[in-house]
Amino acid sequence: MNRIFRAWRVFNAPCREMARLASESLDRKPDRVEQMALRSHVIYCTACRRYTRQITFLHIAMEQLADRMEMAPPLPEEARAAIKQVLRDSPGSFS
Amino acid sequence: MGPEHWVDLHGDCLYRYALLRLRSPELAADVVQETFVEAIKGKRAFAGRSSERTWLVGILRHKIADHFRRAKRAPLNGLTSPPEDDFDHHGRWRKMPASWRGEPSRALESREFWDVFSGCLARLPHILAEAFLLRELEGVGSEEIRQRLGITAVNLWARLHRSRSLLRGCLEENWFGAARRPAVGEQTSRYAKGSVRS
Repeated sequence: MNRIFRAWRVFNAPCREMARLASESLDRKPDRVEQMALRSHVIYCTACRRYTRQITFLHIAMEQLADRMEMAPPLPEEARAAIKQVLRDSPGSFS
Repeated sequence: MGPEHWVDLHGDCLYRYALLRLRSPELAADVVQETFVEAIKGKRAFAGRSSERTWLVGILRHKIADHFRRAKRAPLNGLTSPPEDDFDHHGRWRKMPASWRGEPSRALESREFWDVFSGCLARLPHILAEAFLLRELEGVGSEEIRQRLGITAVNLWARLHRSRSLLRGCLEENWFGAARRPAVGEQTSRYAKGSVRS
């Protein structure tokens, strides 16, 4: 009975909960009830469908950003030299 | 192993991360320096519990947090509203996410898009950004982030959800064309109905 009640609640959750669920699906595996609820909700809810699609796009963009970071400018040479100097002079420095 | 080696091994990675958050090369170099100095002091405390890189990034995060605390930099417009503001008290969208014009995946090929994107990222409040970057940039699992930040799973998911909402809104406003309103007759769900302002 409890399970049925929970399923009923998940399926009837408002957009606020569906948006939360859409986000959490990117961070944890939703259970079957949640999965089905979200899938059926976005069939008729334009707003949540867009939201889900757009945060998935963010996810892809962040993956690409991680690759692009490799090509981002490195620590400038002067800064690198200055940091090394500071570390050499630092009392806690190890020889 | 000398400190020079450390700087050569991790300097670029730390600097890029700092630059992403602070957007100023001078500031970024400063916090990287502070990070190494702090690391040297705490070398004994390190004890190899995590990888050297993870440990250094952890110190860097604290240094960046200190910076934001000192600067008391207020998040810019659009990134300040609490999450509840997206929805009314029935849990319905107040303002429905706009349909993004153009093909979003094409945006990824545009240099200007990445400027806007990193601008939006940098505007995330620090407390959200650190969780979001660990998750989405470094691909760290929820459980590990939870432990590193010392927060509950629910709190972590809330931070990630909020980060996504803010970023989404920022991109909509600054790249995908916020001015566009749903066209007349465009289908809206019963949940979104009444909340679309025209």
